Amino acid sequence: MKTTLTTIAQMVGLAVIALALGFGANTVRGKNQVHLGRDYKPKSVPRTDVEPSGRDTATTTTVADPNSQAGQKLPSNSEAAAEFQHVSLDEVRALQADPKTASGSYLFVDARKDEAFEAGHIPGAIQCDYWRLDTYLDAVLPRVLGVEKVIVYCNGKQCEDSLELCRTFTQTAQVPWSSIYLFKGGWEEWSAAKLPVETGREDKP
Amino acid sequence: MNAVAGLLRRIDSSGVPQLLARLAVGGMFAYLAYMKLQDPLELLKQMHLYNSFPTDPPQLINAVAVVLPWFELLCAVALVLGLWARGAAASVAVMLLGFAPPLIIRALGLYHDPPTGAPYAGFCAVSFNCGCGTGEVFICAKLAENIALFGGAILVLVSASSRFSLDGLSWRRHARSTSRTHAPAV
Repeated sequence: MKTTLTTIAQMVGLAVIALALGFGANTVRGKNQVHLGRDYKPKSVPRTDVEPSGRDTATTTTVADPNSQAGQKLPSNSEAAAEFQHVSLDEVRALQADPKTASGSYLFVDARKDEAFEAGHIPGAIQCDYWRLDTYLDAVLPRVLGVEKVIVYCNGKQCEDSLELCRTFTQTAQVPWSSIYLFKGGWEEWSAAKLPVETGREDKP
Repeated sequence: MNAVAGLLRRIDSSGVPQLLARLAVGGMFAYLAYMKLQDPLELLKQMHLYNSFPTDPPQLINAVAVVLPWFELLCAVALVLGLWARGAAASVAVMLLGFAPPLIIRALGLYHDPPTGAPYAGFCAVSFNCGCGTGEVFICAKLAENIALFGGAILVLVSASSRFSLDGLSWRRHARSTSRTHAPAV
């Protein structure tokens, strides 16, 4: 009995010390700090620009039905299919080659973290790490609000950061739904297709 | 039967099995904790992908991501030093038991709905970033690793030996001082 109580007391002691160390260390972390009050995965809200018939008001040429992408499944988060317009690899390739990308009317946003972005990204993309919005959002938002189309991507189909970033843009920053395009295949598809890659940091806005 | 029990007791009293278990489990947990401490946001991200942890209020899951690596590190240090080793071993065992259901549920989810569309060759072929600090892992290998760590933690917990540990040192000191205090006057 005494041994059991001692063991439990030790467990509690370890937990208390870990709490103190964890919260203490978190306050002095810079970019990697976890903001304890932030909801990193907010619930989605229904789109506000969809007509009663369910038809998207956005004039779009994008893939509304993800099943039309041959051999590919629905996005892992099925809500995403209804929530945002999806673009396939071919469409992203066409958008990237479009002169409007060079002129700044179309903007590619990479939702991955620093190391991944610096190792390689879609040419012309700017970075907005979803998990470090404090660092990026202020600089990225004016650019996102000022363009015709925003194509958001992250690592690939298992990654949900691009979806969450789209939600942040539309729900908290009032970016029009119609201008947001989700490239669910992401970096994995782009790099697997051996398409042009840019490395290093973007030019700061 | 008694002979086997006696032999096991003798082996245990040498303190070597417990020491090896402490070093193995403690070493592994120290490594995993160190990797998690590099990027707690990555841990939080992976925890969200499990869809098994309560996210309302968000402060709860955020706090777990902040504290868990430190708790693991403390348990690892305690095991290696043999200080509060039983409490650390029990904590490790509880953590491993707690990690198992989300791991299995997530692997089953991926197995039934593979993200690439191509089915897995079998359940053991399912691989994903478990958020454990080691990147992408195969589910069966991860489960086997956790079972081995759990076995090591249980060995530390049931061992009666306190050799090669700071716990043993403090007990011996305490016993010595007690025997001196209660020694009959000559």
